[in-house]
Amino acid sequence: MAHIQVAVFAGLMLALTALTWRKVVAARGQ
Amino acid sequence: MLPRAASNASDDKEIFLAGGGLSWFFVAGAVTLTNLSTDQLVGMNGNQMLLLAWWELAGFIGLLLLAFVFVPIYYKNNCTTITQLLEKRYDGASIRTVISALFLLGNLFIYLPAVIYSGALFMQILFGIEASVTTIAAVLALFGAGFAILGGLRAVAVLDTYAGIGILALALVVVFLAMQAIGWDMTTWVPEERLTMIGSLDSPIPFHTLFAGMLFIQIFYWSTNQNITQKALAAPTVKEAQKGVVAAAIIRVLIVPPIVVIPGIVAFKLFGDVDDRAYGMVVAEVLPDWTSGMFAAMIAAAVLTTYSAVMNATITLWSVDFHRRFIKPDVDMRKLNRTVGIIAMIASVALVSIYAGAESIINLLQELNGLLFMPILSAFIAALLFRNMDARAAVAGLVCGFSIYAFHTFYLYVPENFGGVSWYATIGLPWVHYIDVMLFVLVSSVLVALLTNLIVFGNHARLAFGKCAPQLNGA
Repeated sequence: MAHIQVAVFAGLMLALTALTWRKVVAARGQ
Repeated sequence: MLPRAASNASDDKEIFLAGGGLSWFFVAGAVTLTNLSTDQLVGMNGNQMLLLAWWELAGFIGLLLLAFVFVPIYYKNNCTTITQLLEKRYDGASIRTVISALFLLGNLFIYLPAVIYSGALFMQILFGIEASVTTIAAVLALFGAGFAILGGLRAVAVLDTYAGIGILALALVVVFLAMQAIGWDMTTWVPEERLTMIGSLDSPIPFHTLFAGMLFIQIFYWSTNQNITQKALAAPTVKEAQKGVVAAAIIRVLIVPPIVVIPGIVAFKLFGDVDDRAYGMVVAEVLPDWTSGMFAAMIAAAVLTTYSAVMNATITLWSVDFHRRFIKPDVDMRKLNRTVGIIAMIASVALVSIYAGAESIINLLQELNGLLFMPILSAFIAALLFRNMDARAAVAGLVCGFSIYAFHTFYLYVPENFGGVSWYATIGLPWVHYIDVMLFVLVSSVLVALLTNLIVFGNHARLAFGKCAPQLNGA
C-alpha cells in the first residue's frame, strides 16, 4: 500500500476511535 | 459517593449492559456488526452462489423471534447472561454452569482467535502487508480488546454502529461497481445452479432444509447465543430493544444478502471458480486504487467490531457466571474486567500463531463448535416449553446430543468410511444433509432430557408454553 493509503487508513481508524470515545464519555457524564 | 454494593451493581450494568441505556439505533448496530466479519464477506462470497443468501434471509426470521419471543422473556427475568434464564427455569444451577462453560471455551479457543486469524490473513494477502499474520492479528486484538476492556458494552455497541455505517456503505458500493463491471447482467455465462434459490440435494443449502433445520440454527444463533443476545439486553425497555432488533432484521434482509453473495457471482463471471479469493479479486478489479486505504479500514473495522463484541460477551460470562458465583462474590468488576480481557486477548493471539502453523486445527475446532449449537438450544427449548424439569436431565440431553452429532460428523459423514459417500447414501437416503442432522440432534436431545427427567429423577414434565413462572422452588 502506498504511504498515502496508509495515512487514509490510519486517519479513518483514528476518526472512528475518536467518535466512539466521544459518545461513550458523553453517555457516562449524563 | 455510592455505597460499595450499589457502585458494584452500577459497574456491572455499565460494563456488561451499557448501563441499560442503549437506544434502538445502537442495539441494531451492535447486533448486525457482531455477526458481520471478514469470514462472512470472504467465505460466503467464496461459495459464488446466490443460494447462500438464505442464511441471511432466514436470519430475518431468527431476529424477529428474538425480538418478539426471547427479548420479553430475558427482560422479564432480568438476565445479564442468557444462561441465567436456564438457572431460573430449571430445578438446579448445573445447566447454567455447563452451558456457560461451553460458550466460554468456544469463544476463547475458537471464536476469538478465528476472527483475528481470518481477518489478519485477508489483510495480509490483499494489501501485501509484510508483517506476519500473528503480528497483524496481535494489533487487531490489542485494539479490539481495548474497546471491550476500557469501554465495556457501550463502547462496543457505539463502535459497531459507527463502523457499521461505513462498512455497509462501502460494501454496497462494491456491489454496485461489481454489477456495473458486468453490465448489470448476472445471468449469461453463469451456470443456473449458481443463480437458483432452490437448492438441490448436493448444494450447500438443500431446499427442504429451510423449513426445519435452518430455522432452529437461526433460533440458536440469534436468540440463545450470548455473543449476539447480550446486545439486545442493553436497552432501557423491552420496546426499545425490540425496535433495535427489528431494525437489525430489516438490515439483515435488505442490505446484507447482496453484499455477501453478489460479488461472488460477479467473480465467477469475471474470473471463473476462484473460491475464497472471489471477494478480494472483485474488490481489486472494481475499486479504484485510491480507495485501498478506505477499504483496508473497512476490513479492519469489521474484524474489530466482531472481536470486541465477542470479547465483551466472554468477559461477561466469566465474571457473572463463574467468578462472582464460585470465586469472589464482591469482586471489583472493573479490575476483573481488565484482567479477564487481557488474559483472553493474550490467549487468542497465542492461538493464532498455532492455527497459522496448522490450518486444519481451526477447521476441526470450528466443526466441534458446531456440535454445541443444537444441544444448547435443546436445553433452552426444554426450559421454555416444559415445567418440572431437573437441570441434570437437561445436561444428559446436552451430552447425548453432542455425542450423536460427533458420531455423524466424525464417522457417518466421512466418505472414506463408506466408499466415497456418506453412510446415509448407502442406506438409500442420500438427501440427508448436515442441517437435517442438526434437527435430528435437537429432537433427540429434548427427548433424552424428558426421558431422563421421568425415569431417573421421577419428575413428570408438563408442557407449559408461554407461562413464565419458575419451574420449581428448589432452584
